[in-house]
Amino acid sequence: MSISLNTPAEKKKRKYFLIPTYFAVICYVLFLGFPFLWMFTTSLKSPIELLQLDQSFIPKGFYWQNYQDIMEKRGLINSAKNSTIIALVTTVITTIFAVPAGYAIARLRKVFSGAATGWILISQVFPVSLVIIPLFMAVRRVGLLDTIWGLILVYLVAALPFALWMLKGYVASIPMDLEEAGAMDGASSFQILRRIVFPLLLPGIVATALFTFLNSWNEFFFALVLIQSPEHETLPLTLARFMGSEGQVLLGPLAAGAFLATIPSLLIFGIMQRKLASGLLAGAVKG
Amino acid sequence: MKKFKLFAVVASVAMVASLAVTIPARAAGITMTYFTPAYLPGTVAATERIVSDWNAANPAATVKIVYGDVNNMQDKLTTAFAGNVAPDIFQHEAASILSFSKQGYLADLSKEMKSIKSSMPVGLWNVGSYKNHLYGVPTMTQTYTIYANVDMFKKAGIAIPVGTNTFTWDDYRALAKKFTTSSNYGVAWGLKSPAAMTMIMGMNYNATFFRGMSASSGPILSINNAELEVPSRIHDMIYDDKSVDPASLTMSGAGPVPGFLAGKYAMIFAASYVAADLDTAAKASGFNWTALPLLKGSNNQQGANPQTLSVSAQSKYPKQASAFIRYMMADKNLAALATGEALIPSTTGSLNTLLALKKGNAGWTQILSDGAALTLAPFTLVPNYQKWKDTVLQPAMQQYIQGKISLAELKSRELNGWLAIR
Repeated sequence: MSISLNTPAEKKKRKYFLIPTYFAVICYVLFLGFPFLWMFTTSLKSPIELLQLDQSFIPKGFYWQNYQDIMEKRGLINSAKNSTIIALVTTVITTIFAVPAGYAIARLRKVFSGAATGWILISQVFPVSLVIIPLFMAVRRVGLLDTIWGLILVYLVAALPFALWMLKGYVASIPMDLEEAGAMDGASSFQILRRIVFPLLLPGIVATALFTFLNSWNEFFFALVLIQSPEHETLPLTLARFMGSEGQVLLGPLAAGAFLATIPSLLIFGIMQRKLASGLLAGAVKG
Repeated sequence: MKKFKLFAVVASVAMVASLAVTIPARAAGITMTYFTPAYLPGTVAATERIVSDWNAANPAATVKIVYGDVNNMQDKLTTAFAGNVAPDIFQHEAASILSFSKQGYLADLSKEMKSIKSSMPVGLWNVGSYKNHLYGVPTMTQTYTIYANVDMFKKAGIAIPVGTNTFTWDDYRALAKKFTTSSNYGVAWGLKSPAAMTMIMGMNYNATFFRGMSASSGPILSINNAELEVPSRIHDMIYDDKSVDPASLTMSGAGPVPGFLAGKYAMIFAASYVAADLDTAAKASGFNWTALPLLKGSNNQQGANPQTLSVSAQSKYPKQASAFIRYMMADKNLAALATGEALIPSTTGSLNTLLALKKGNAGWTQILSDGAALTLAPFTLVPNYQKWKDTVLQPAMQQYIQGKISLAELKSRELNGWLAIR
């Protein structure tokens, strides 16, 4: 006996079910997006309006001067360019190294795997304040101080262990049976990796890449210490200069800068999350 | 045609020769880095104008501005010194350069700044010194001030206190009570980070906090009535008089400004930099504000922690760097920087310049004349003072002000915290 979901009664039932579902989704999206929208409207308010006690959501006038200031006087475009290069290069290199290494650690014999994992964990336990001065000296010695390549190198060192750790977990969750089935069907090791493991690993790779990208995009302390020249500044450094001591803040320009700084990461997430979802379905065992 | 070719060749050779003459002169020039946390538009504009003027007048020793983040200056400078890449000149604050002075990272500017010494109050000069050597030239500083809504005072028929050494803590408390009604609080007080303010204001009651500064075993923290007077008075105003808006207690220093501008409070207690916001509002909406005289307990003194200019001991150009600092300290330049930050400039000449600029503005006139009450806060010279203030006093004082612990508990935490840190 087959059950049809396309009868008028079922359709009507589904329709009634969809209304509260969409309503809940809209409420949730508004709830999540409200701080972002508030930041945008704040970026359009004048200093006088921002000094008022009762702040309205809609600005009383559109004060585009905030955007003009951050772009012309504070070098936001240049910082955004630096941040984009640094985050993208770090993400690509980290992923290229972490995928095969993660696979190897997950599939190799337990003794080696345990030692490698332990080594990775050890590298993560030192607080940043402890390593910053030796790291600073090392970067200076190799002539990469105050360069975006120096920062990329440091971010790679910081990102790789955790990326490996994440990917190792994803690889371990792929059943060995699938690889063995591929081998039984005559696939080579490379084919097994490319056609079976990689599609199943794609969500993990995307998640790891997103994680690495966002960390590099938002990182502040290493950049603060290793970058000296304004022309090599990253976005978090530029944005921090809108804040003074004792809670003083240039709210309008800061909101404008923060709004623009959020857009690239939102776009990248928007593009990559499709892969995140589609990868979940790819390569599944068909019964 | 031949003549033209000959002329062209001669002209080209002459041009190349002239370049050859000028290039070495340029190559011989030096560029110094000036690291500054300036971020307010007025200060940034003033800094850029000053540096541009200097570079035009001194092409052989130019200055390049490097902007820093005011909240991370210490980390940035610490690593820069450790890595031997410190900026030639930098702006920081007196209390924070002390550790650099002790570690030998800063150049002694005593001789280079001799010409400036006589134009600065002795107390302020001493703040930038360590063991009689000047390591940071004080440029401008802030006071803690009470701002008043002039129209509200007029409406209530209450005279605005004027003069110097006339306005006591008791007067302040009485005024706050007078302006407190069933629907309004008399005063708003941003007490999110109360540690530094309570210590500095404690000097009104001769609070010293530390004794035995030169003892071989190190200074001893001593908390007595003088050290507890200011916190206890604040507590009384909040909980006994109920004249301080409790909503303001978790705000930063400038947090209560919007409420003040909206006529919600007759007074706010804040640092002098708030005057910049009040000026903006006054221009836009005619808001009528003034600053009251500095609060007086046994005296009206406040500890100064001025902005300072220092030269790194690693700099290859200490003479030129010192000359640049002297240029920045010129009356017109320092007055421009202080206007941008709404701070009190440190030299008499720059103070007079600024007073002339702000003539007719009662609030500014009062703030600028308060500079004489600023002096060295001895506790800023104590090793580990900053650490104790940030990790022990700050959370304990926050809890006391929020009514979570008693005065006795506050004292106990302060003393035990010091024993763990010193």
